Amino acid sequence: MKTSLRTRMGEIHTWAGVVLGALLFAIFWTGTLSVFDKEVDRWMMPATRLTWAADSPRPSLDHDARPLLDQRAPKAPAWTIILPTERVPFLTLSYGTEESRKSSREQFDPRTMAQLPPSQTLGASGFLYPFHHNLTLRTKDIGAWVVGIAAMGMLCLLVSGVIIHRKLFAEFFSLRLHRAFGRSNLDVHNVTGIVLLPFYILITLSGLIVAFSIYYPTAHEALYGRPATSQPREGGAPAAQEAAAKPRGTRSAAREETPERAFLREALGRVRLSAARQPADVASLDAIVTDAEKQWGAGAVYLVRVNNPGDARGHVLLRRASNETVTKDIDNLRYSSATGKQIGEFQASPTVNVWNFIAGTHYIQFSHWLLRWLYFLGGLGGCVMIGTGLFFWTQARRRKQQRQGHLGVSLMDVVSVAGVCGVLAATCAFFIVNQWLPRQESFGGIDRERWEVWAFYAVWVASLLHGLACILGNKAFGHLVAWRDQCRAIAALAVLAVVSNAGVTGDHLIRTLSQGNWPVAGVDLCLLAGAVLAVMAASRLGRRVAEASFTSRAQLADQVLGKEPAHG
Amino acid sequence: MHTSRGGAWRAPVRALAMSLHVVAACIAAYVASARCVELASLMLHRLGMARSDAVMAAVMAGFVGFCLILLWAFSRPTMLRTWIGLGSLVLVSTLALKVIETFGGRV
Amino acid sequence: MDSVTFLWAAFAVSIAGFAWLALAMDSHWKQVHGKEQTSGRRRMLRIVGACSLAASLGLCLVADPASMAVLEWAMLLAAAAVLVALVLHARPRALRWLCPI
Repeated sequence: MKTSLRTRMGEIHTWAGVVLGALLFAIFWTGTLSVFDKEVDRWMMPATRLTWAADSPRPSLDHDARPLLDQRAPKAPAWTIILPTERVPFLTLSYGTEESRKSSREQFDPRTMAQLPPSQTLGASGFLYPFHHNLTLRTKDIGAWVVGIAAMGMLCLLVSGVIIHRKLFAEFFSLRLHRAFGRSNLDVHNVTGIVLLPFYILITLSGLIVAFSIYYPTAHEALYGRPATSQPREGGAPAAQEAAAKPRGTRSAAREETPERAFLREALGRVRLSAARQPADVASLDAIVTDAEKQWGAGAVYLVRVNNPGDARGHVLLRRASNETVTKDIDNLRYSSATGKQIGEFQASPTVNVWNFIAGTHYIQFSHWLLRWLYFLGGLGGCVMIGTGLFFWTQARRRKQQRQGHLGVSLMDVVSVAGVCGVLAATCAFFIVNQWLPRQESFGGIDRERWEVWAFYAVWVASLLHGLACILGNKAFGHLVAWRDQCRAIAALAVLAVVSNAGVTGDHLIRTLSQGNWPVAGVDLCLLAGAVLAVMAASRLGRRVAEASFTSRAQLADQVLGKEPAHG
Repeated sequence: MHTSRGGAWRAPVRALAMSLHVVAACIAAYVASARCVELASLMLHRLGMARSDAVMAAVMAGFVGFCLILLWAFSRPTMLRTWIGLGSLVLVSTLALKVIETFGGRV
Repeated sequence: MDSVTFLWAAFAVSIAGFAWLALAMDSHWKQVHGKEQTSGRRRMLRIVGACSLAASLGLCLVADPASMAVLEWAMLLAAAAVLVALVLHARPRALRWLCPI
């Protein structure tokens, strides 16, 4: 029995799609939102709705930031100062304490240095973006592994999809939206799949490549040495074993550099210098930044980290913004914090710059609004492709099975509706709860941040339960009812989110548009556009429900009158 | 699909067996690709690349390689062929790595 | 002209390019014009369409550094293709003027 390559690829495409479809939709959706994560942050954190032009003079580090740091964290192991940018229009001061690793982050108006009230929310950059790359399951990187498996599955889906598409070029422009729902659905799946194929391959592959240290953790071992096991090397063996056995990121300095640290130092310039335990002053940070800008250009520094301030061997690390290029710049300059002189620099090699470029195409840190919007639309295209693909499978299966009560199809129906509509509704709920909850640190012992996250998951679960009820309750067309109702719910929630923002913060669309407050206006407009699309989808589905209900009643009547044998 | 009395369980059991096969094959393909990444980094270094560059280049190519291995493995006409292919890939790459490390000397 | 203007020009050129490539296909030609077409015209449309797409890449490269330009070009092409597909679906006659008989 010889099966052709196309058949085999068809099976791979179907199975990978069925197993990974809903997960991929969630990853793509949160990834699409993360394109504008800083803008969504402005929407979710009203206190940070400031404006900052890219060429505004930066706040003085010595006069504005130093007094605050000396006051709050004189003995901290590290100070981090993040300078304001167009998309992040405030100054951030971050510092840890000797006891705890968790650092405090405080935000300041860069013009007045008034502290901004804490927003008590994770926001898009604190929840939606981490969800995208590790499902917020950080223990042992399990979430990242699940996302990685899905990403690898996506690559297989893309390649197999191209191979099985019989009329790739003939149907390149075919959007037969007036035809039967199944045909138009498949057309949308094919067109969004093929026109954005280079984008999907780029995004998926780059997403995997940026996290190579998670997915290929032993890649450096052939050239840098394996963690010491049974063959101790002379000299530093016990310390090496100790260092290798410690979990990544432990603060206590390992006397011997582990193979992994050596690789990261050589490839990415990550250095750790231990403290000398001798007190010293901290030199002028402004002078250090000015010196760096002589080499990098004006306004190039976006992050200043002072490691071991007040120590003789403290050093200042400066990171460079990558605004004009795609490549994510990891070049850094190191200065002694005691003397203010440059003590080192790192420039990535050409090979590592290839990695930086690939990382840059995924992290998109550049400042180019048109390209950012194109990424957003591309991500939405990906969501549409995945959603229509899932829908196509359940429709095709249903026709194939004849019986409408097959468990597998019902299960996939539930997974599809919860995977697509559920996560969209959950996002709206996340936004709504964010606006309405008063901004205090916790309620009833639970952090306010977690209340928002619970709302997200609760609505997702509700979507699942609603889907179950509809689909198990009506084997014939319950899935259409579920999709229609949830589309209506999404429309309502999206409008409610816009209303909540207007009601709670007073920054309604007319005001934000007239003030030029693009982040907030953009989020509101996208929510409204989403609501319109959801209403359109719901009305189309409503027509299908009406047709299906008429057909099934007609069939029932025929059965009763003895004209047609009962099915199943 | 027909469902005779005793055959009601056949389809789910077959599905479970197939799923386990798929998962095991994916793991084998991953192991093979990880070994190939290490081998590639060794060879690139021998060809003159700096250590860190060799590892980065090998790792970037590794993901593409893994995808190709997966597609190749699952497009074999029979499951036996899939396992023969994957098994030999894992064996050959592991052996090659051991040989180079033992006799080639660490740089 | 600043870079955004060049990019919009690139977008317009790629829409035209894809429209010509679509017209080079029998099914879409019939949609737009309602009659058969000759192989000579088909070839010409393909060449013109391909040149347009290449020209839009050129416009992107003028607008921005190469790495960004290539990304922008790929995404603009996708948007243009979808737009042409939608026009072919909703108002195919609108593409008539691109290749009057």
